[in-house]
Amino acid sequence: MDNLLIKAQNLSKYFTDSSGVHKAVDGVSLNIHKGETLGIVGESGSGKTTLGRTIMRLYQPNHGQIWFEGKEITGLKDSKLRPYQKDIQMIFQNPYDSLSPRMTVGDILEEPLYIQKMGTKSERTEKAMKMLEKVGLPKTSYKKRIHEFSGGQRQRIGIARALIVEPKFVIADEPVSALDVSVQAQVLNLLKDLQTDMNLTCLFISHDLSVVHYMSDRVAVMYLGHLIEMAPKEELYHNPIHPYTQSLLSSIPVPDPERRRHQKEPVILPPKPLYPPQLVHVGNNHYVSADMIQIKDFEIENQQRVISNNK
Amino acid sequence: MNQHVLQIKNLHVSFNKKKNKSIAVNDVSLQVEKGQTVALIGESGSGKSMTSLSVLNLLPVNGKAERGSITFNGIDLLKLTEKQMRKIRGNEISMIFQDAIASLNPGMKVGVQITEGLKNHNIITKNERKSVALDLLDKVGFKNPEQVYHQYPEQLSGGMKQRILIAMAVSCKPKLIIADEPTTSLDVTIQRQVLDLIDYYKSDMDASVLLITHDFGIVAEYADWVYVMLGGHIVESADVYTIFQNPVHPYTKALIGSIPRPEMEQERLKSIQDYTFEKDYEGRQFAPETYTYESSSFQAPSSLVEIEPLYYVRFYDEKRMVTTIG
Repeated sequence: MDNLLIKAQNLSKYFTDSSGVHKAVDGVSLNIHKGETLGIVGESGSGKTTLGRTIMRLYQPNHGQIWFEGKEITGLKDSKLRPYQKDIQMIFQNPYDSLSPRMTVGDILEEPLYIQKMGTKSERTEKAMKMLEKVGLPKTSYKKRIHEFSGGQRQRIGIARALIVEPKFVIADEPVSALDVSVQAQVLNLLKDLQTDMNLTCLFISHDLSVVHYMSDRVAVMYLGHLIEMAPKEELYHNPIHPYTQSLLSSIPVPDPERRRHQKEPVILPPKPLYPPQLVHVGNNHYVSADMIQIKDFEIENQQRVISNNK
Repeated sequence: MNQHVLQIKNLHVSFNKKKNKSIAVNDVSLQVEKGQTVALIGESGSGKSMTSLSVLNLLPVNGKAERGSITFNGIDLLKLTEKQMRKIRGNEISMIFQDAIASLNPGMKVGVQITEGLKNHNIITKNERKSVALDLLDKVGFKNPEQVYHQYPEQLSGGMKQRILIAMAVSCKPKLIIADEPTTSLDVTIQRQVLDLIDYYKSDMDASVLLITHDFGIVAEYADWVYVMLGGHIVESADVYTIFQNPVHPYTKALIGSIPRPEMEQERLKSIQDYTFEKDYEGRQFAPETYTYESSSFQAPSSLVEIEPLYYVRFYDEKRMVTTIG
């Protein structure tokens, strides 16, 4: 398919410390098409952040390959990688940490343009002003510093900085998890608007299944470094196959007391030696990490659960 | 109506600063009845944690519960001396904090920390204390209590630490458990286990729970009664069904409207229009005076109104006031 933007094949990233090798990402393969948002959900330690950073080439993968627009970027040196860094940008979780407190907002926004050698000084200033307007901040913000802004506004600045170089692909790593609910809604809406506006392709990483559902077209579930299930969002949320996905989905607190669950299902956490990391296609663009026999087993278990719940 | 376990009336909590005084909790009244789970929901800076801390007289040193009363089973907690208060803490009312890592002593073994509470409150022998502790560890879901008993907190995961805190909180069979954002730093699957555990203890010991949270999902699953806090005030209070079906205050509507919900079609999240927090001179943030939601703007307002029996809203629009209470 020629509208493929990102292709990752068998990607692995290991970290080594005194206690041994930790396989943070282990044999992950995925495709991201132009204009779509792929959501990655997983709990802490599942490797979702490492996956995002490896795709962006902030980490050098131990195994596997990454293609961007059909060109392999896995082994590129820093100088060769620079043009791609303009096209791949990242929005970080905590704007308190990821933005310099000593720089003015103007400098923060213009720095990526300067690094990519885009435009003259006055053109850069003009662009920064436009970007401020796009993310809904007043022009007076240009001369201010980060500590003068609230959490939501800081994240707007983080978004502006990522998008000012007009990237094709954005990795958003837990962009709203440090924010209050009402502010979170503002930032999510803004991100969605900008995405349509600038025709962005997005990898949206979060531990919050509701937020991922709101933002994504397709959703992939990560557990202990593996992708265990991937499907279009409605398919995944209505028809989860893997028991871990089902546990995750049934753990979301539903903000509706009428639907309060009186019968609570047990939480299932699969043990470490997982099913083979290859994803199996089960129809409807739905992939599960299991072989067909296990999938049959899952289905039987589900039916039994439904029967026992109805009793 | 004599079933109130906890009754807070017109509580004011203020903080002394170098130059001025700031009010964190403003005229808050709430009650927790026997066997109930009462949720106090609000965003950061709304004063929900300060309300709960003043119940056990655990406010930071420059904070003071100025006016009002906090009655627990007929005792006015604000009039107690520190010595009398110690008999209440843990024994009668216990607290589960948000940050399990900070609440446990990293230099003490888990077993010692659990039995310490028993030592202060009940007079039983060392062996008895150990068997009670092992029993508690078993009840909060550890498969190997004997091993955990001899471990240090750093050897446990976040969810395990939070379960240790629950074991400690219920060890003296309190009548009221205050849980201040007990699951904020935990994963969803662990969050559900922890909340189910608190819920289980509540019914098991016939206790009550005051649940402090910012998550309407948790409120819908576990609470019986809800108080919504904004800028130090309670702006709406009703039973959990009413508040979800028919929220009246625009702030409550905004909070419920801004939750992403996979189970229904949502074109766009509704949100309060962007606001800047007002800051005091030390740079701490407090909630703003005026908010805008959809087409109505409203202020952190003045008096609480009963719009139907037992359903209170603090109105932003005086025309809609029906009866003013106390």
